[in-house]
Amino acid sequence: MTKFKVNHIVLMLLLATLVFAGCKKAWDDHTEIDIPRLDQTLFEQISAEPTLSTFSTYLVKTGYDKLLGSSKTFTVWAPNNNALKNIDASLINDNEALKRFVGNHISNQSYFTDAPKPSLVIRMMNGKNTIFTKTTFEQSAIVNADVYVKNGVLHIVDAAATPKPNAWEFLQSATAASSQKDFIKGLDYMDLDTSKGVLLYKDPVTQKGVYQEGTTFKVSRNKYFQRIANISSEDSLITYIILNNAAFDAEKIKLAQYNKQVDPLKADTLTKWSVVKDLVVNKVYNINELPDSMTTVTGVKIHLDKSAIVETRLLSNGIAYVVNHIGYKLMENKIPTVVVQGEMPDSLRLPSTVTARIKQDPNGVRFTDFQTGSITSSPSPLYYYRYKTNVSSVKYEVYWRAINDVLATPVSMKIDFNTTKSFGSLIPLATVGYYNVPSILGLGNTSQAYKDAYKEVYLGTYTADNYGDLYLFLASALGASATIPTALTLDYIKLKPVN
Amino acid sequence: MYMNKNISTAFSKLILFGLCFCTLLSCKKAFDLQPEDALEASQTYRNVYDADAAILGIYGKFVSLADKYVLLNELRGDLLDVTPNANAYLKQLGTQTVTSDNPYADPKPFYEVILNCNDALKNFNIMRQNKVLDNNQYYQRYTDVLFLRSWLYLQLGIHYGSVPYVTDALTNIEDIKDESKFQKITFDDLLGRLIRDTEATPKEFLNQNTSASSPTLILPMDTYLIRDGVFKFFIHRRSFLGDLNLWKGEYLKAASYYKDVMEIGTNQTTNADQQVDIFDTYRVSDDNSTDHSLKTTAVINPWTNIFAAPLADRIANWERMWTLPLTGSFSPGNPLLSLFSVSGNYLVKPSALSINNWNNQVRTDGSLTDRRGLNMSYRLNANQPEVLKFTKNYSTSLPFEKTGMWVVYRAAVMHMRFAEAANRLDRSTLAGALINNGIFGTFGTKSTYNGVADTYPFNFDGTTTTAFRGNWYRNSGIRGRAVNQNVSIDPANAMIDTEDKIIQEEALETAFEGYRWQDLLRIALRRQATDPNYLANKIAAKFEAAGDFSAAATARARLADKNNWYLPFKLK
Repeated sequence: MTKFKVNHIVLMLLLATLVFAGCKKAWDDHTEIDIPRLDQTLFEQISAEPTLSTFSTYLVKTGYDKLLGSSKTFTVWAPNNNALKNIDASLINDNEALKRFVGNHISNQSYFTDAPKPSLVIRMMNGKNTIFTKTTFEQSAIVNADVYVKNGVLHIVDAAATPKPNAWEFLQSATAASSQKDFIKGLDYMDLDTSKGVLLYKDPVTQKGVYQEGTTFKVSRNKYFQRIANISSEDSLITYIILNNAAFDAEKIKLAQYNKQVDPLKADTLTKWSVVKDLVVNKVYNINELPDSMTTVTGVKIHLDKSAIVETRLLSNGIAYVVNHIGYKLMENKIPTVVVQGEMPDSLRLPSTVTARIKQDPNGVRFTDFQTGSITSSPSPLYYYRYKTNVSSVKYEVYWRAINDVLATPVSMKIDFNTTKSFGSLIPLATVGYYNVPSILGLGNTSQAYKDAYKEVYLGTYTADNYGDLYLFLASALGASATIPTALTLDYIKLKPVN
Repeated sequence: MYMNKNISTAFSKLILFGLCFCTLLSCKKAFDLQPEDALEASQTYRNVYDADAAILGIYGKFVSLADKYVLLNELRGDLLDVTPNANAYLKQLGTQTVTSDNPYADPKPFYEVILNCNDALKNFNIMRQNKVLDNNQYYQRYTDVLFLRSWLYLQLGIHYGSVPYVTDALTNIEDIKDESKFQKITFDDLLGRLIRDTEATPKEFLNQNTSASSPTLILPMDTYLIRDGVFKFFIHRRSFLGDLNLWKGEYLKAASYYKDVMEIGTNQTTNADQQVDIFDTYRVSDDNSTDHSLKTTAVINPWTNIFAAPLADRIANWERMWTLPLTGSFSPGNPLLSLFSVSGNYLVKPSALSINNWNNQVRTDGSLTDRRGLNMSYRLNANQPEVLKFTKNYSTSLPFEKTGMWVVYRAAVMHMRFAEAANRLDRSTLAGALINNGIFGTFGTKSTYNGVADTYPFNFDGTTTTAFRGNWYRNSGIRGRAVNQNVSIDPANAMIDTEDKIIQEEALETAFEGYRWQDLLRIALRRQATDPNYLANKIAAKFEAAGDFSAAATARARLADKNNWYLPFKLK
């Protein structure tokens, strides 16, 4: 009985071995990848597909066939023949345009439809960004998804994705807004990129660096792109406002009086700059969700009326509105209020040290005071703190906040204005005159006089003739002596533009 | 023939034997290979150089505890907070809800160094018996290791309360888990034993070791000079004894130990190993020159040199007492950099409370904010507050230049702890003087007690006339050095109020350096009977200042129970 069983087991083991030996081939077959498609490149796959024959010929025409036959990986969103049936003939005949068009359907790397969660922004071969979701590519629907081959993925879509212009490209093509375009285009300049430059020596006369040949490169830059916003960048999303020529001219007339210059050409450029500088918003606002007030990248608040919009254009980097009118508050917005902090002087003329101290006002708000005590003479020119700022050609109301906790007697100070650095020239400077800052020493912290001392004080007005640099001089009192000392003290000076 | 056969038999036997022997020989070679890059136990502790190597090895390993030490003592305290980058275990340290699986609460790294110390101490004893070490060699080395071990045990006591006090040389750390052999003892008991063991050191060896006494141990190494460099690698002996006694409540003894250190300039005019300036070394002084002082002025703020100046900087060494250099070239690198730096992992940041503390100070000129705060103890890096004390010299343009320093002990800490001890012995005026504007500023001349000149250890001479200068005339006090106005002390409640002011000043002077939890806990233990919620309120205030009231409630509830003042002790 037992022996019989043992025999059985041995037999079973033998059989099992046989079985497994026989299975070997089957198992190999099971794991072997056998999809003929995987030996094909994207281009081979596309040209083999009858519904993609048009796209395939475009690939050959633009040279993209070589790229899609290479060993890197790509994703192609290929429009089928039906989608390309009604394509503009001018596109097909213009090689450059066709290359941009075809490039708008190809990207580096493999993107499958399970990658967008829920959507992906993908940089295409032509440098544009497109939006890819599980079922759509830009505005087209994906008909056949995730066909993976040797060097990437193929999706077939039912409509062509014509490349959208960016804000700068659109502006250049917008004929109704040639003034804005011409001005910004005029701010182009050639620059030398020295970031990789090998410096040989500095020219003793011009103090400019001389670099080893071949290590620097000429590049075209634009001052508007550098100082306001690079509206040609594909990587930021903006709302861009384009003034048509009528609106541009109207703005120019309106703003000319605030941008006066001795040189009329300079004044013209400044005015145009003032017109175009506040037109970029760092957020995409669709026409139906335009807010009452948008803050531009320059901090100016603007208002866009729906009725003023002439044309709306979706961009590869946001949205553009061509308008015939733009609204904004002029004073303290377009023409900014100028605040000069005491502790940020441009130059000092003083007999003793100056100190910046953090203090607290009666409301518990902290501020930094800039003070010089023990001024015991009134030389000519007087002692002063000088501040440099930039103003528009407009009338300003002048305010300061200055707290006298230095002396027990009132501190007399004045503010003078000059467009150059000099103080104490023979011609008297424009001034708001002397003002006595009462002492708070000895006052109770809760008394009204103490609280009043921390308030902003109106000193008078100053009208700037021209746009540009303005120097403010906080000058010390006349008639100071060892027995009647004076001081300088300042929290800030404020210049408020008024009509 | 017979003989011949005999010979051949004998010959064969011989060959057989020979072969067997050969086998044995070759076996020895095969299995007893000597390691080429490690020493056998039998190869160590053979001469004084081996002993020195052991000490440096232990201190080298000790440096790797720097980040753990700072985290345990600061994150559990009220001045350091976690950033969003921190993991749940770090957050537990802050909210006082540490679980036993928390790796930061694992005492094992401390015990690893302790067992290294035990091994060295055992072998130093053997070497002394075998006359390999003479009396001086033995005591200098024994003391440096014994004191370091005691320092580690003090830390364990502070954080875990009851711990096993293991002094045997165990080869395996797992043995400590044997509770029948190594019973846990209470913190108070531990302090008693630590004092007993350290104070058994002959008095002459309570002075720091010197290069003259130990030329083989204190010698230039790598880039480090002897003077104020290698010399200050080792634990400061007397001040540690002061600390132990302060914990134990032996205030007079503590004050005496501290005072002996504070008077180093009086007792030593020259020292080959250390910069000693009679009026300045360890005296928190202002020498009234613009650059030769750690005092902040309107123009410069050299206070931060304490943490940033080179290892052997003369002025910074008026303050530094125990410094361990950190460098990217040697293990463990500089673990503090990645912890604190915004360009590193940035796991911890200054708490809102600590920043408020500085912002609320009034300077001598009446303006606000403490000069030790912004851009000194911390900075705003893209609006993220970053602890600056350990990262001042770090630059992202030189990411591998990680040279830094762990200032383990410094004079201002000693002054505040002296003040704490003196205050408990009714010297609140003297304590206030050291915290506020100094001996001269407070007394004008010698320190007094009840109207008469005070006696040792409370005798300070701040006299300054054209004919005579007391040794303490330059002492500017902690707040005086930072050009802050004095804090007033309530005379009706002088002892408690002075103690509160000392703790408040400590937050301004020594934030993030690793003293905070220790000092809060010491006060909490001292006031247990009168103010049982001291610690709970202090820690809850940190979260309240940050606006996190639920965390404040958690911490307050946890710390209301004294058992939760200590971490769970679990060796992993």
